Amino acid sequence: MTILLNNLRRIFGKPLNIILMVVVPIVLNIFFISVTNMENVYVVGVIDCDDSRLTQIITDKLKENADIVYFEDDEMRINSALLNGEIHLAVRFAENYEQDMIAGKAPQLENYTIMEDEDYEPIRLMLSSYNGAFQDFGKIFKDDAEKFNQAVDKYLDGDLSAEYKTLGYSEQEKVSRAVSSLGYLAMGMMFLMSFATTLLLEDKVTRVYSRLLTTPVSRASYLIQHLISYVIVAALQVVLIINILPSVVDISFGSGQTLFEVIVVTLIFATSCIAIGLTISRFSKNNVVAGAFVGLVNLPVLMLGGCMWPRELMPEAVQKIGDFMPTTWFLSAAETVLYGEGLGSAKMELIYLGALAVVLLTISFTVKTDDKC
Amino acid sequence: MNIIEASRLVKKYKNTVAVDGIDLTVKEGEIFGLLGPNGAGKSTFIGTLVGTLQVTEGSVRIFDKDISKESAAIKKDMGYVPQDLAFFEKLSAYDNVLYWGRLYGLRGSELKKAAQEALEFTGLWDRRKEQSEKFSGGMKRRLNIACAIVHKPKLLFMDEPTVGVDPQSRNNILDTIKDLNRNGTTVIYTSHYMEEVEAICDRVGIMDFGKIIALGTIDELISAHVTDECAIIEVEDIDLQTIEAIKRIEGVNSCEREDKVLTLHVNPGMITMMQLLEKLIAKKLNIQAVNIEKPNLETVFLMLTGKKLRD
Repeated sequence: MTILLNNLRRIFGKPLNIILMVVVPIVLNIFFISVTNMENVYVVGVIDCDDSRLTQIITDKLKENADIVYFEDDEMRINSALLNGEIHLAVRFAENYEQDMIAGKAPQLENYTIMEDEDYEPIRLMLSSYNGAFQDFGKIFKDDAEKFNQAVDKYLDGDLSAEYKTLGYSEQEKVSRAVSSLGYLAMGMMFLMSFATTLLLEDKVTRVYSRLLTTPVSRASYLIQHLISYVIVAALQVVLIINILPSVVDISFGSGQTLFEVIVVTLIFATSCIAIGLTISRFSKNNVVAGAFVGLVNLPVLMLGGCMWPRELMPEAVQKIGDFMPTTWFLSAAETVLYGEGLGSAKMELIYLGALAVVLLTISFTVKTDDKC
Repeated sequence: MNIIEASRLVKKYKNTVAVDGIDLTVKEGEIFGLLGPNGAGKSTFIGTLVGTLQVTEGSVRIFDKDISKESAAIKKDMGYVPQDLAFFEKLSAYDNVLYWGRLYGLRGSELKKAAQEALEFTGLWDRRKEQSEKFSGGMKRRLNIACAIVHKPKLLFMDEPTVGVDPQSRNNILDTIKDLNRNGTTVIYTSHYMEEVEAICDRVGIMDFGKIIALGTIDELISAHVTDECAIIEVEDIDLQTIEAIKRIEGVNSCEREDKVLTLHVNPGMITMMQLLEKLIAKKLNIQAVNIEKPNLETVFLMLTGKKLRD
């Protein structure tokens, strides 16, 4: 326990370590989540064949939520703009739109897109809401333009309007956001665990490690105590971050059993990260060599495992390579438990992660080397 | 009783033989000195004895136990002062000594008492609360020793423990080692400082190229390996003819001149120093000063290897 307690003292004795292990991952997570969830700017193409007060009102409302580009009534040109991504949605006001509306003919508002993205739903809902309200006024005040316009004015004053606040995330989106967040957390954990295991390297460079091996403490005991100290640090890191993050950004790691399972999965992943870090430190002579190894290992593991971008964006062959990455197993297991399927459903991924840790630690503990730097 | 028995010990690094078939026994209560130039293999040899390096061939028995089979039992009674300052500089001297004491199984009041004794022994008790990082070089060296003796080892390995310290600190450390030995600790001391080994060691092994090339007490080594006596003579003027004439004196093995200083090696069995001086005076040499050098381990090393210890 002497080495374990001393390690904890060394880790928590430096305020910088606490900042790096807890504050930085949270800040990074907030940053990445904010960047990836930043409101997209949608471009809506407007074809106004009526050019009336009503079309102006709806267009002005659109401007509050999107950039507007006006088009002539040219189907080919609009199709091209949609295909090129020049506009995301096209809205067409037919000729006599206002006149038909006042006449109670309830004209439809045509809108087109080529992407089935739920992010457009608020815009579509808004269009439908205005068009529906105007249709109702038309039906009630049939051909009475004055009353129709009074009703529209009242509606715009807000007495009759419904305010659209937010469209709640679907279950799938919630899990996807939580998994993305865990991906960023994995990134932080992999680098921070590599950093934490540099204590072993520090012991090597200062020759404390060689000296320790002249005491009755065995190499295995030394490494196990190092391992436990990092697992304790990782546990604190995971519990703190997973509990703090949902109150800072709009993310949910579930509650009760699910939250517990997310923590368990993350801790098993943390243990395999520590095993990677310990193995690198165990066989590196100094920080320079270890740093090179950390970069060589961490970046591909994070990239191929889907921590930086969705795995689906990568070619199939690369995804196959990614299947061997611990980050892939971690995110897959996390997704499973976030869907509420339980740890049992993620057992294969967890077994892979555990086996990786066991293999690496066995190599670190048993391979004999001269402990002279 | 033999505390250490190394038999045909070999340590190889790929094609380099760092320790080349060493046989050595060290008796209980000795201060055994291992002397040799940098790179002679002293630290590697010590590494194989303390268990930080894997032995390539041969065997090591310490306390009559095989180090490859019973290392934990051996290490309990063994202390090691490495050449480097191997402790935690961010910790205080007291915390460092407590740490190393715990690794040797000391706990509670026994540990505290032992830590106090180790720090008092090395003269650091008054500075125990200070962060060791702020210590002077000599104090750090003493703390390095305190960490190794906290558990009162029966056998203490000291690998060049005085490297880079001032003469006063060095003398303190040497006194500490003698005190430890008086208290019953067997000490294995490596150094490339001949004066240190001469000052404290009962028996000396001289190492070069991974081998122990001479072994014995200092007197034994000198009498076995040094046949010449050396005289350093300062003269006013001397020409080459006179130097050649001196070289021809029976019993003079060599005569070298550097400015006004003549270094003469003579065979004491053939000519005494007095006879030599009389002959020089007879040659009308204007002698300013004469220094008869007593042979020492440096001379032994020079005789054995043809080079100086610090070459």
